[in-house]
Amino acid sequence: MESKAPDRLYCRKSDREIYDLLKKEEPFKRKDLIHIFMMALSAGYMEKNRVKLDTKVGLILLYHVPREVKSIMKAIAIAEEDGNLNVLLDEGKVYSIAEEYATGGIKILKNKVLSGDFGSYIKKLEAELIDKYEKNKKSL
Amino acid sequence: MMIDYIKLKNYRQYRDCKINLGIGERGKNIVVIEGANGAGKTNLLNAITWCLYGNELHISKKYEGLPVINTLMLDKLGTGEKSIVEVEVQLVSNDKNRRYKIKRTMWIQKSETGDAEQITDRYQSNQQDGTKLEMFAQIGKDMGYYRDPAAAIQRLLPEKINEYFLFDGERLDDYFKEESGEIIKEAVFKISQLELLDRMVTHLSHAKNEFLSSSKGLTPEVKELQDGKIKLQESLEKMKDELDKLVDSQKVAKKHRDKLNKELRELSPGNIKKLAQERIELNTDLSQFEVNLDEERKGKSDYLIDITPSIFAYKPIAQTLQIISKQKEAGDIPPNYKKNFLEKLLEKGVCICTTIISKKDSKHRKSIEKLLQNCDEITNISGELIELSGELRNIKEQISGFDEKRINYTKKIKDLEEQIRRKNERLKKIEDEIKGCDIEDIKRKEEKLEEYNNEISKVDEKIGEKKITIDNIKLKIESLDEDLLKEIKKQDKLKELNRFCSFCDSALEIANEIKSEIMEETRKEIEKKTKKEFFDIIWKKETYKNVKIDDSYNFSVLDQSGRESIGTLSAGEREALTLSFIAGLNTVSGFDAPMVIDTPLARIDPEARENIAKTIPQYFGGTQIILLVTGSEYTSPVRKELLKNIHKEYKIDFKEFKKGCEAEVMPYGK
Repeated sequence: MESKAPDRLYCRKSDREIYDLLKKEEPFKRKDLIHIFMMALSAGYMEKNRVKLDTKVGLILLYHVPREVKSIMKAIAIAEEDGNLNVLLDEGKVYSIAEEYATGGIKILKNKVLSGDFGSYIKKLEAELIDKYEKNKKSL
Repeated sequence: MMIDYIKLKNYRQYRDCKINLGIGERGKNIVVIEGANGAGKTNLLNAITWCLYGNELHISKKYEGLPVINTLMLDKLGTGEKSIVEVEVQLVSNDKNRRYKIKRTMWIQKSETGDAEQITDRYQSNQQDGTKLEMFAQIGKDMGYYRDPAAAIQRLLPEKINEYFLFDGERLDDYFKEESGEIIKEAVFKISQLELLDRMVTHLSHAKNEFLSSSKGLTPEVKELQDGKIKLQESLEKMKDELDKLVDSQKVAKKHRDKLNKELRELSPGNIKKLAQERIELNTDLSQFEVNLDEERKGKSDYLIDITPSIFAYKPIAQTLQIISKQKEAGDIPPNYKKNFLEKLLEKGVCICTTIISKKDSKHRKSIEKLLQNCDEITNISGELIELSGELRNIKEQISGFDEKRINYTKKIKDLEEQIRRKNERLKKIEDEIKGCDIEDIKRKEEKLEEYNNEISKVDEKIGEKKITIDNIKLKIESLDEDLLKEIKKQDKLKELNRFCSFCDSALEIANEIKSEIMEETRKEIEKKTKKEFFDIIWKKETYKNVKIDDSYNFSVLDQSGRESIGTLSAGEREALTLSFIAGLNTVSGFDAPMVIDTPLARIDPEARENIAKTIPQYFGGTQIILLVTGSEYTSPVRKELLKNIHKEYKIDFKEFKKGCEAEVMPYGK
């Protein structure tokens, strides 16, 4: 069933405060909620942890989300639907998939950011990115 | 002029020995005599000066007080037995047209106590020191015997300038080590042969004073004036002594002041101020660098966060791009018709070609309905798919640039961290230096410096006062002289005195003028020659610009920036300068003398030795050079440098026994 086209991205009600907490921590102090959302999405997607939102609260108006970021969400949604491009006809589904992965990743992200020494999260992230980059390098 | 040979008999360690020296063909002007320390090199130099002047001018402590006769020979003599010590030097002009054979003989008798006693009877000696000196000359085919050989030798090779052709290489360094003014002035004076003029000035002054004294008592006025003049002259001498002492004490104070100034330059508050200023600048730099580092780190962190979703979602991105690309290849994107477009045509009942298709059984409507059946909904978002493909390609490109961008950030951060580390290190060093500074010590030194400065200025004042007093006394003496002369003139019989005094004054004035002119000319000539020689042979030509001897006879070597460099010359360069100076003196003196240099390379390091060895043949323009060297000076590289100019090479074979020693001069290599 085609869902209604959303005007915003949602998060689980109980996760909202995690977003607010992370917004006050390095390295997100200078960043927007969409960046935290995308980092949570990335963490959830890597862990294949897609969690349905039992309760939801609005997080970011889609109007403020850059096209490039939306494209990544769309690509993930297409992959989730085994390459079926028709998923793009249901915008609500595209963003739901993104929200579900972000919900699955927000706590992982929180743990990574808040545990360890100052700056260690970015170092670990860099190492992870290098690893992923090296693996995909040949097909780039 | 060259030394043709030296013959030694019972002289010091040489029992019976003839050394042929001379000059070879094609500019071979160097004779090398190698010997260990104490083997007898310096005694060869002594043998020459003993033969020529009756003095062993370079005698070492080892031989001081020992008899000139070889001690082994002395030991062999029975009590009352006699023997001779003899040194013969033959000098030959370079064109070999003139030969001078000079021979000095000393007769020795062994005393009852076993000591050597010199026999000085009139048959066996013709010199004041009891030796016999003979000199023969052969000029062309003429032979001659000199009745006064000592005087003839003085004309040929004056003793007072012997140190500029027969010299100890180890003393070469002394010329320019300390303040050179006095030494150079003395050398210029000796070379200029001004002794005669100096003696003339002294004689004229004495003669004038004696004549004036002889006029005492001729008139009461004259006597009174003369007494007054004598008192003034005594007072003038006293003042001159006091002035000399003041000048000396000022020199000492200046030396101390300079030393303190040097110390304070390194420790002075000025220096601390400089350090403090540097510390401020470093702190400012550090703050800026830390801000920059923070910015870079934040930039990198932001970048990593921005790129993370792209890299983590690389697979879906690549997959989507592939799917869209396949659809493009299949011609599905862009589609021929969009589904909602066909639906709209049917809804309006008008085809795009304006045919009415509202009737359900219309042929055209059926065709459009067929098309609609085969048209997917995805055709409605084909434009969005094309856009999505463009966006995803951009993201893929950003992923490709990840490594380069990340490395750039890392490099900038590392550079900044390194610069901050270095600045912190320097800051710590400055802190330590400032902490380590003994402010009290600086204060004490500055107080002492002020004392010296005060003392110097006080002495300056006193020197000024003394000079004025001296000038006043001189004026009074002049005025008295005038009065005295007036008084003397009054007396007819003192007219002659007047004439004589005037003559003396004029002669004195002329003699002093000539002396100054000759000294000045010689100084300039030596400066010119020294400079030429120095720049011809110095191996670091680009370092130095000029060589000067100033009016006070102080030597200067100026570098390219015009700075005084004499104090920073290496031992090798100093030796090159001294040899240039000696060569200058040698040329200017006009004496055609051979050069005998004892241990010329002893004080310089091996590298400079080779440089000097390379240049030695160039000095003295083909003059015979006899080098007395030790084995450590005459190394293979040095020998190699000299070889093409070597006429003869000898080695001193030295043997020491219980009762004395013996040396023989053998051809090199045997």
